[in-house]
Amino acid sequence: MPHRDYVFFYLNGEAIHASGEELFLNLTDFLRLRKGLSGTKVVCAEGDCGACTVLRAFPKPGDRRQPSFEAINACIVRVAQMDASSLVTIEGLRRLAPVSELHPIQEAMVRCHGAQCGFCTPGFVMSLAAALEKGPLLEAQSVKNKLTGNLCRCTGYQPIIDAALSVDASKASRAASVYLTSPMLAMLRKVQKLGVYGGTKEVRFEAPATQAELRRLRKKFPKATLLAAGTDLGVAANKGRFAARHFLSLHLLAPLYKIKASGRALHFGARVTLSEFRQALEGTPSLGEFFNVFASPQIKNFATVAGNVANASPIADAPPFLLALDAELEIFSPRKASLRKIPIKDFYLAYKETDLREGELIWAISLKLPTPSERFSFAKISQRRDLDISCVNVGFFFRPSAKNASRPSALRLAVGGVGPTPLRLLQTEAFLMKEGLNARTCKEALSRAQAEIKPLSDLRGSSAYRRLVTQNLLEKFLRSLPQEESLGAGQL
Amino acid sequence: MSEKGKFTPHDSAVLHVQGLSEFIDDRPRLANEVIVGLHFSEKAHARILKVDTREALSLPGMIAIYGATDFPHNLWGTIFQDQPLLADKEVQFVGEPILVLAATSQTVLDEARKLIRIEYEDLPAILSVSEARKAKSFIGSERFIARGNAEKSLKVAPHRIEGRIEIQGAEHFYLESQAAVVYPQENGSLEVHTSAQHPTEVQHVVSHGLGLESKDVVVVVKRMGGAFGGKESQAAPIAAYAALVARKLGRPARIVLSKDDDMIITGKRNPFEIEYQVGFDQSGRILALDAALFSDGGAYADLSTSIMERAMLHSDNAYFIENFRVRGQVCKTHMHPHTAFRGFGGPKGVLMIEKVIEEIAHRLGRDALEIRKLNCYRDGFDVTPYGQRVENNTLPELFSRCEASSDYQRRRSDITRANQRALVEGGEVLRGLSMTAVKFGISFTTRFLNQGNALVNIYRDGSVQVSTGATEMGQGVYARIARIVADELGLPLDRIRVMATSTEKNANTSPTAASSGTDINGAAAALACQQIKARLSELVTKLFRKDPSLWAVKTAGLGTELEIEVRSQTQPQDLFNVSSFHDVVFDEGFASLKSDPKRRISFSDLCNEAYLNRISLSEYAHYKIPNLAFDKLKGQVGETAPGILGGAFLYFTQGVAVSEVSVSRQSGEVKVLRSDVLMDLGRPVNEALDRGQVCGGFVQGLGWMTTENLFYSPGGKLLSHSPSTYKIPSIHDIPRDFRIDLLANSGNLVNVRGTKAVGEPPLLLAISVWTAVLDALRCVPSYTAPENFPQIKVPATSERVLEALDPTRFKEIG
Repeated sequence: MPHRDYVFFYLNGEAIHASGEELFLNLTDFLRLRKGLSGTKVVCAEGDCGACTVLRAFPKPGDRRQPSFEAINACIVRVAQMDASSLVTIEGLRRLAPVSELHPIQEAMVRCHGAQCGFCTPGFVMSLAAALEKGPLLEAQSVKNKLTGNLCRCTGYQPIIDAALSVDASKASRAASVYLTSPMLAMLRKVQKLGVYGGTKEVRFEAPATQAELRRLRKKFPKATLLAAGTDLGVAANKGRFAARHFLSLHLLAPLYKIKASGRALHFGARVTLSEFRQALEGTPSLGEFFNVFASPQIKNFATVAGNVANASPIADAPPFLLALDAELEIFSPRKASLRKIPIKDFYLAYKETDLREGELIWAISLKLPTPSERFSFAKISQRRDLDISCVNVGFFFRPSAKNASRPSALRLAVGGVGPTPLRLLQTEAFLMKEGLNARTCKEALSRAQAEIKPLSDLRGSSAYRRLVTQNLLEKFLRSLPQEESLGAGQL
Repeated sequence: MSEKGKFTPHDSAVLHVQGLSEFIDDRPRLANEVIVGLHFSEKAHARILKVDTREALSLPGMIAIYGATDFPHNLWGTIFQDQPLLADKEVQFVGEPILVLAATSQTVLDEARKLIRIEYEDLPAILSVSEARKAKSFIGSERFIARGNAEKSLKVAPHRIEGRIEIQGAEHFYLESQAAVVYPQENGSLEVHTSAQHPTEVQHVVSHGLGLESKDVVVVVKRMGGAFGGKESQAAPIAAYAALVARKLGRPARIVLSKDDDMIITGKRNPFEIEYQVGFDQSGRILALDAALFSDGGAYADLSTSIMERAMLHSDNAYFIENFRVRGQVCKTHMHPHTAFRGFGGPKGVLMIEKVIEEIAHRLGRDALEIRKLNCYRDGFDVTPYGQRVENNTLPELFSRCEASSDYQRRRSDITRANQRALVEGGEVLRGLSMTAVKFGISFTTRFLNQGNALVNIYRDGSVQVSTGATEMGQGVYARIARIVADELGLPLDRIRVMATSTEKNANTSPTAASSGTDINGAAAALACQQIKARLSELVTKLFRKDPSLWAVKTAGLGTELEIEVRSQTQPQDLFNVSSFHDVVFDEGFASLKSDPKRRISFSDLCNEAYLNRISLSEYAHYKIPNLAFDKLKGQVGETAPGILGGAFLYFTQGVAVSEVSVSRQSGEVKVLRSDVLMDLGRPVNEALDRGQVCGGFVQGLGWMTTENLFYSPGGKLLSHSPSTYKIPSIHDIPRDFRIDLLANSGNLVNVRGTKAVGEPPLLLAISVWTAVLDALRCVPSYTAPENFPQIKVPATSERVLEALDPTRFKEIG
């Protein structure tokens, strides 16, 4: 089978063929040490501060649309993961600026005093560059949403917001016009057709380009570490908690990028990023909001929904959301011709343990979006509202029965951060399904819910706090539902 | 003072935005360079029984591992030399460095660290202030500041409150972690490039530790990627580790801590526990305050005793308290040695008195702002408990202006109504409003630190290099010094370059700390310029008496003319205004006669004439802050000369802020809805940079007040050691409506150009966020009774707020 032993990408327009040990270099080390591009900074090495932000355009296999340049964290990815993309670092902005001038974003940052010590500054400039590729920023709130993933300790952010709101981006060239020209795009699409079989004697990196190749490889190496986006693995590796000998990357498999929407049904592949998922939800306003407090733009642009599910962290943000919507997982098995389907509620078995058997992987996820008569609520409570790992997160869903609005025909109460896995409060649900909603049953439900959760105390919150917050969120949701009689105020 | 340059960008801004500014780890790696790392203690307090490095050393790429005995002198410390560079027989905190590792790459280092085996024998560890107090484990002796008779007047006061506050520490979270690169030079000398606020201290610790003399070590600081006090003392040992390797191996050595290691190893803002009694009358007038301040110094002294002094000196804050007694004691624990952090001890003293005032207001059923205004320093009531008069006092004006501009009274009644409604109707949020003040003393409390020096070199083309001891950490001290020099010499800014800070050019400097960078170093630079300017002015007058065809530029090569000599000896000048000598004015790149402005010579021609006439174009000047005298043992100002009282501080930077918060009754989450900050910064040389400090300082304080929660294991290990667990403010957390304004004040005659120091004071105004949370909590049923006041630690995390909203319910559900 034709294949290659290198990865190929563009870096500020330069064609890069990387192979051997270079594949496993942290991208920031590659940029800073091998290419002398020291404008990209490293602070936290865990994708939390954004000092390492670079732009990446990745033409998705099987998708003919022109990709856009998105901000990603360079510190938590390896060189191999940049295969078939075009990257732009802070040094690359020069070619987008008018001759012998600063890029308009840089000019605005200088004019508005958006830099003090300067260490975070390149990251902010790059995040703004990514945002402005899509059009001007008109409101402070949209600036903030674009900069959730960038920390600054000096300025107090206000000058950066002022700068972002005052940029005249019309003077700059679009990144694609320089860094993703037609020949470049054609080249990237061409290399995507070839699987990658590379690495060193000690560490292998493989990326099948077809489903058949995946099946063969997975059968042979069922224990190889799967890379969807690997944002969590990247952190673990940086912090010395993880070292793999064999990677199997899914990035060349076209079916995994598909998003199918028909009516309320949504079906999406395992390589669909959080950002793309969010776009797919755009029509359902309350669902989109959930993404404002879910990770940073840089993470959302790279990390996948399936990865968040498969990671099986008890405080991951996607599971309560998907549990409440009763999503279904499609599982690829190297030994079976067809995909196995299971409801997500049966997926989590124990702490960090899932229903995935040897060699299996999540292939796709499907769900149904709520109708206007159904109620859906998602909430996330964390130490800091934005870009923080949850202390407690909940997804609640209610469908009234046709005859009696206060009697649910479906009720799903999902909570994360209160047990070893994301969980559904099945007994509380069953109780309310049976008894219907009124002041008495809701009160009873609150105490039943307490019996179903077993939160721990840790640095994100004490067990008491998690219990009380879960109770308050559930009470708020139940109070918002149609009831036989009102719960009455003052209970909160 | 001219308006020019009021909004000039930071001198590195254009580089910063392009990623071209060079930080320590951006220095290109040399071929034979060695990467240095640390292996540190996992125990808070233990005896080291055995260190086994054999396996680690056998890793390919490992070069060497060094221990305590490799340093000829293993102890360092800024105030007391009590801290080992490397722990030898005993470890005193989790994160205490034990071994220095040298390898060819960071990857090898990380692997090697996992292979090092250390056997410990646990010893009892003290991990909090209260444990330390029980064990009488202290650093230094108790200090006090007292006036009147607090004890007696507390007894007779109509009202009395007793209370306590726990204030947690905070991580600096400078984005550039501690870092240094050391290059071995000829004859055993070393060139150290480091990210440090105090190059002289680095020079001292490196040379002393390695058994060298100061002359053998040159320390250069170009810029820091943030510091905030965290690189005042604690950058020095980091550089010493790299220096040890460079000296042992004769190879360049680089150390760059990971964020996790940096947070575990280095000290934080000192946690404080404060107990107080306050007596007041029915009107809310404070009659007496008696407070005991205890801080967690950590395992070694570091700067903690000075930090405590500043906490005590700020326990009055903006308020006149007739009978006053504050005692302060630093506790020794087995935590990382805590250190300077923007505000030093100031915020802790201020936080206490601002909380006390909220409590008085609650007891009397009044608005806290009334109590503040009633007790504010004012004419006739303007002497601090330590005996210094508050000169040029703008506090009453700041209070009244901000009350009006923030629409305080209307918002107060809106909030009261809204909260009542929320309580009745089960609304999800409550709101709180509070105004606090700052009166921050400017000068180091240790007198000898209040000195600085500057070297000004003017070249024949009239361009200028300035070198001082000030270090650049983002605050813009270079830009301010450049402005002062440009104004003094009448030159455009682009003719001035402030050079990287180096101990080679400026010796025996003070840390860039205590907000004093511009005050001390800017004044020294101005003095140096004045001396050159005096000579040049005399030269101008003499040149203008001579036919230009006979000037040196035409004749010096031939030696046909008499050389011009100048005799100017400058008298100490007033630094408030730009100086002037011999009726000569320097402006816009020219020197001209005041009496005859048409007679002028370009600055560059003038400099060339000076050179050709063998007149020096360089000057070195020393500046010391005048009139300082504070007796730390008596807690009172002392005499500067017989019969003349000095001050603890040269002047005070003052300001107020009103913050409005919402607290969620569901999760306890605090949102800052609006903050209005009004500060008296004198007459800024660069207002844009000053506003930048106000905005950034306030937000940094806001993080400490709300989300920044240092979380330790029961064994004393910091668990929140990266941004995924330690939450500094994100862009969403700044006040939704954020208004910053400055009060015009041309009355600060004592400081260079009439400016006021700005680095630290605005941080203290974020205390208004915390008191606003108290204000919101006051309205819930748990605190209806005047004697019940919400007790909440700093920071007011969501969890603590939710608990304080209904402590009983919280207890029950847990």
